[in-house]
Amino acid sequence: MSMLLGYFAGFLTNVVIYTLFVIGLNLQFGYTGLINFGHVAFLAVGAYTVAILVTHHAPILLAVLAGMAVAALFSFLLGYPALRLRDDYLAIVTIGFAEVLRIWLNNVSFTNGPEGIGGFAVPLSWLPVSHDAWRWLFLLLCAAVTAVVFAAVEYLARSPWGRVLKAIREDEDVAVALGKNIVSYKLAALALGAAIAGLAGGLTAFFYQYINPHNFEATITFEAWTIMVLGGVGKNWGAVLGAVIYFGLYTITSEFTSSPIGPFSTDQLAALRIVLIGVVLILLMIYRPQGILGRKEDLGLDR
Amino acid sequence: MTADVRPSAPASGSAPGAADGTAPAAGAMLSVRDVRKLFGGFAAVDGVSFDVHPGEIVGLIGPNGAGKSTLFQVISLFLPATSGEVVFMGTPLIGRPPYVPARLGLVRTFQITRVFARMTVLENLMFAAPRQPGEHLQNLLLQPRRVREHEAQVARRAEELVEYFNLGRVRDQYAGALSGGQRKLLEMARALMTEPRMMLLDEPMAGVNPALKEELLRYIRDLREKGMTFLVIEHDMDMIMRICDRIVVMANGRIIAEGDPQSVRENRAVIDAYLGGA
Amino acid sequence: MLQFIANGVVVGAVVAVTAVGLTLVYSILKLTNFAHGDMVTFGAYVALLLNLSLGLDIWWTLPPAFLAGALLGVLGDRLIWSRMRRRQAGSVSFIVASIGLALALRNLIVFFFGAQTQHFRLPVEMRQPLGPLPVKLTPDEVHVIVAAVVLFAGVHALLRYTTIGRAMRAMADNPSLSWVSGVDVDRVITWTWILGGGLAAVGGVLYGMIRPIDPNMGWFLLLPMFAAIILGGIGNAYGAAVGGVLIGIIQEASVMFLPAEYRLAVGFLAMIAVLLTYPRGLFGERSLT
Repeated sequence: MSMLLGYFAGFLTNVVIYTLFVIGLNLQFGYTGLINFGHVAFLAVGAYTVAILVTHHAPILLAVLAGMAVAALFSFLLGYPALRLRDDYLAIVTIGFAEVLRIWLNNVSFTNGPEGIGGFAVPLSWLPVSHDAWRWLFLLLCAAVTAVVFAAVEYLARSPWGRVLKAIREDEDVAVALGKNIVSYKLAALALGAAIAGLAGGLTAFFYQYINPHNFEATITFEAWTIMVLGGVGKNWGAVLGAVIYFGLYTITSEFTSSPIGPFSTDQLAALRIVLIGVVLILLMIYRPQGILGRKEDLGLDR
Repeated sequence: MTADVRPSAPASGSAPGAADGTAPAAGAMLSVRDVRKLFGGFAAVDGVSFDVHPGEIVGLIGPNGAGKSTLFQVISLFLPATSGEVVFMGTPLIGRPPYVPARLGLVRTFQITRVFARMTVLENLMFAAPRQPGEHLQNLLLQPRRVREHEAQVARRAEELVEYFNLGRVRDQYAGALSGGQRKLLEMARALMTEPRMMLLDEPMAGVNPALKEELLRYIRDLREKGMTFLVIEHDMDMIMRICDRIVVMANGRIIAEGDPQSVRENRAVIDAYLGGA
Repeated sequence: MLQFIANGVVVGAVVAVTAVGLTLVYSILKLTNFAHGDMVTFGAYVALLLNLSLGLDIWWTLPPAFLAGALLGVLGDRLIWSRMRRRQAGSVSFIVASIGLALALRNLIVFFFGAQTQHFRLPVEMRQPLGPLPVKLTPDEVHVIVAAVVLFAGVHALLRYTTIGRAMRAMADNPSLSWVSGVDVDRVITWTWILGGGLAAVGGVLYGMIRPIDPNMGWFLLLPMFAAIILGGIGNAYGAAVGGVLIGIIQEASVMFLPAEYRLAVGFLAMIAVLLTYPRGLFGERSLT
């Protein structure tokens, strides 16, 4: 029973951290229309910054803030050249950046290369509680962080600042003609989304308590896109709903794929599961691009 | 048509509105100086100079391919000029980013009406208000109250324009659901939200039915009464002749005539350019 | 130095063959196809199946691989892209769907063939360096270059001298015009996929002759392909070919200074550098010709 409960805490933590991660993506794409296909890079930057700093005995809160800042800085360096170009260039540049970053993390010594980093301090570890209890407390911490970010992004989205993002997504030229410096807004949205991803990365590091470059493959970005379009682009509740559905399906299917079925190995079943993600994405794009919560009249996947 | 379109004074109370006629009395408001725009080797605009004075309605006409649309893009900084200068109220514009003119009080519209379809009418308008503290993240964080107060002002100003343009019944609808005529009015209202001193209208009468045309003409005249200056590109000769104080005629990238409607109508070069299909 | 350039030309030839398909699809169908790399992988595995299980000589796998790739392209269009076009989906929906297709294709390959690295069964003498040359090249590598040149001549002839090629160019230039001016749009789209898919698959076979085969090979080739078409100017088929060779050379030459793992990164950085200096590519954005 307690094992099942612990497992459930893990499931929920995954949902919460991914929700946070997708809120960042939603700010970039859902509100502003920036096609970021390298979101996992900012997760990785956050996770590695936190892991390295905490290993060197930095205070946990400081390390997490640093992770957010470094992620934002990277997005800035990337966005500065790319945002002046066409939309689909940003997609290619971000996807390339994420791949290059992963190769780099795998080949330099201060990240321990493919061995990864583990054994660093985690939050709330001073509490005299069992490991299972800690998992629930950590879940609460993640949920609190995500709730705060959720509320903050909602506030921003409803503000005049958020109105500019929406307008940029709908028609950049008009926004410019009416006097808005759109590049600075795009950069801000990109950096803020990256910082949120960096925060999710820090939480990921504490959740796994061990990270390596393998944790940050491009598939993570596409999972985030799946969650976002599943729930409904441009809606933060969509991120929550998408994450619950996605990990619900994921967990159910992993029940089936944890042991071989008939002639099929677990690897084959795992591959089939990703095929399923792909097919779901395709079907969504054909039949319901606005997602579950989206309405056709609202800001959707396309302008 | 009695509504006051004067911008509600911003918190500081210092920025003069378009409507109070305090624009500099002497000199040109917009000055186009020897502007040239080459595409490859082809000169789409080939050394054009003219002025627009405060309170004027100036028409820019010419047969297809005359270069007036290109010139319009250059003046609004949507296309870089090859050489020449455009000065608006003493500020040189060429080489600056395209969001600058609107901030200085020179706002443009688009030939095909472009509203933010998935924002409400009111949101469309509020978006366009200038100098909003709430557009900056640090103010949202540190001065939420100032943001709220200014937002209320912006809303009031938007409401005024909604009333002025008779959009009250649709104020909370998505702009995508409006009729063509309502969109046209919304675009005009949205441009006014930027508190301009001068408006650049890109073929405002394109695809407009006669009733709407009369309505737009009334609005343009009324705004001019309140001190607005206009530069209008237009194909519709009837409209140009009826409202313009002065007309600039282009053909083959150059100005071939300039003057009041009557003199332009009788100008030999203009008649040739139109008849010859230049 | 010369050696790295030679290696670069070999890799670049493969990138060029695959990138041409990517840019054709982009300029004619306005689709940024992130599944293109996995269509390359697909071609390599078709050849692997024929080569290992039927013992077919690798050169005889090229025609069936082309056909399979073409079929995959056309099938994808019928099942996915044509439906999305009919529903007037926007460009982002297309991109996301292509990501979905990429994931599905790659993992179907893992499902059927496993994730391990595999090789074609090639005659040993093909892997021996050729005689007295200033650089070390194997007969296979020379064949790859020759094959790429032949394929490219074919593409050129098709675009230049056939009715369908001219229609493709017209549609790339101005899609809305072709809808009204009597170009058989469906036929052009079908042929675009036949060419794009077929070239991707053949490129995959060629790649498998010089590099190990695994389910991620095409995905990792996708970045160099994008770099090539951006370098050459998006939509410019000849630019894509030249861009492919350039990217190949840059990547291989980087091995002189950096660990080989960074090859991909170097190609990517070259692309960024080009984007910053020549946003429209070295040869300008044009359509096909």
